Amino acid sequence: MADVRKKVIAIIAEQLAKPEDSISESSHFVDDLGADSLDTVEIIMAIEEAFSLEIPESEQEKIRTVGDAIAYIEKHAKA
Amino acid sequence: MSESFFNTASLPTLQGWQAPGSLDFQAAFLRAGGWALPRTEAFPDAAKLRERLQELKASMREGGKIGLDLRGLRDSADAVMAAAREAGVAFLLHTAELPPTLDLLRQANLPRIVAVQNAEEAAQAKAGGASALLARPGLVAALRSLGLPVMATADTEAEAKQAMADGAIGLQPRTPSLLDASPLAAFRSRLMAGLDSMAQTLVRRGACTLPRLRIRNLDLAYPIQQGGMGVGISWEGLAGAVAHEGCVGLVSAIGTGYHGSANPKMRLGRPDGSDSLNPPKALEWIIREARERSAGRGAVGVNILCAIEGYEAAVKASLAGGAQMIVSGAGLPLGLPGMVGDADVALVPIVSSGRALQVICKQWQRKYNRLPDAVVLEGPESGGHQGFSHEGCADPAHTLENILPEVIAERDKWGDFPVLVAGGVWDHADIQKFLALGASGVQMGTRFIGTFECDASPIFKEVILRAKAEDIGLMKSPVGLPARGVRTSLQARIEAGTAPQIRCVSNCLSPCGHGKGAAAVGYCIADRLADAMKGDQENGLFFTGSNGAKLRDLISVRDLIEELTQDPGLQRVYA
Repeated sequence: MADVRKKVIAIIAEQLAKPEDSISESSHFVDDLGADSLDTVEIIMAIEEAFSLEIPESEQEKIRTVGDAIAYIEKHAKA
Repeated sequence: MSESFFNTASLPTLQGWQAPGSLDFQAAFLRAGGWALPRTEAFPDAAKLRERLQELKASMREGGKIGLDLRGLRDSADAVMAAAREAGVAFLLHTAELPPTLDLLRQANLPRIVAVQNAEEAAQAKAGGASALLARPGLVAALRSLGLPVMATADTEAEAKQAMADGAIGLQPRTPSLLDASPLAAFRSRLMAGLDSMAQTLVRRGACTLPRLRIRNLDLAYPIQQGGMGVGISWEGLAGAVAHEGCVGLVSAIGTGYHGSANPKMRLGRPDGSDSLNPPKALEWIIREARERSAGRGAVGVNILCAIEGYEAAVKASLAGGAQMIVSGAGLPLGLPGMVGDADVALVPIVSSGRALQVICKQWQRKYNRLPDAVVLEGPESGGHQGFSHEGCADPAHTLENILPEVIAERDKWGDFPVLVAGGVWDHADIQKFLALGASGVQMGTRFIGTFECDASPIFKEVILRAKAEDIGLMKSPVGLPARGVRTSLQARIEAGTAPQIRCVSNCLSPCGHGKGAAAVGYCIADRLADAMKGDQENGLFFTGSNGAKLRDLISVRDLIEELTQDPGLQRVYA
């Protein structure tokens, strides 16, 4: 589980060009990390790729913080 | 206009296209005994016009007449009339729309031929004292009953023959190849004899220097796409007419519940809910009708906002109606390829940055193994909603010229699909400029508002035609990003809090959040746009690009495409 957290933070850090230690589970993509709407889409796409997931659009809209993403992955990722 | 006016040795033949170097061409028309038609809009002032008319007079031969096409006539109408009389202009040609200056035209005491679109305009023209009518061949028989002489425009030999059989007393051939047809062959040889060899070549082969445009398996004669405009500005009338002239015409998918073919459930005078606002059957009907009107030329597509409630239903309806292209912006159409499956339809996202194109290509490639068939890059001078914030629109880094290279660079990473530019493209020179910068074509919206065929109410067009540069600007919209339109009294009422009540009956766009966005900015976008389309000047919201201030006259789509392509007689389509 710690792996998921680490990987998600790494993805977001790369996408937004921010140091990993500036990102925590409570970080909101837009409000805390300064992501725009395209960044958010790109983060979701990168997560889908890294975890071999397909996140339906209706679920994508609910993923707004780092913690949301981790929770979704832990619930849906294939082992 | 007495019968003797038309009683000439040869068939009265009106100049029907403007050739490059059109002045010599007009002279040749006169020498051949035709009726030359200089346009007032081609001259900066009445003095220049007078000079030119005098020159033309020197080329006059037996049977030849100089007519003056009053298109573009505005402020100096009296000076223009004086010039016309002095130069021996034989008649005036104008549209049924013209007459703010009708009294002046009457005083000029010159025969007037009025170009009409339908029987209603013809009756109006007669009541206004027209001497003769100019109309499409199919109208000749019906218009003859008014008792005025009728001349007919014609694109094909069949049309020319039909018009003559129906009693037309003269023809306006709209394309050089028609001169080969039997009623006009004699005129053709006289015309060619009066032209130098270069001009002859132009007449024979056409002179268009614009490239064709290929999108997927669509082969367009000209690299021009008419942008989708909603609510109700581009439906079957406009999109069908544009496709008919070899370009891409886009139907707007939003608000089809307001279309005549729809019979939606209404509440408080508005389509009730998004299913009633955007009934798929109405969209399907509009697209099918537009394709019918295109006569198999050009291409008919549809513009579907990503933000529309009922996006997938609109996509399916578009396929059912036979849309050849789906253009989608106002968000990222990330799931679009999955909705069309293996249907043979071109998919064209609208973006405002290279990054957005990258995200779309990445996702489409990965999930659907597909790339866009073309992309529209929309800069910050367009009408309606923008892809930039208020400040972003004004940022010089975001001009269309400046954002084009990054989008071309991004495209190059994925393939060679065409990039079309949109937002502020006005004329032939603009088209050439953007092609030279690497675009494959242009999308234009605002200019098409100034056409007879545009589906909006005449009052909508009048508001845009009358708008001055200072009347047009960005305004807040319920969906977040700003939108460009004409500032009318509605804006003052919104600020004063006296604008029409917001009730969110139709639930039009998802980013508004069922009226939350509307409450924040003080107006409902669907209701206000629909009112504008219907011609409610007080309550309507009138979207236009920043070039709306340059629009002066209503013309036909045919004339507009001819001007934009500089292909006299649209030979690529009609030859």
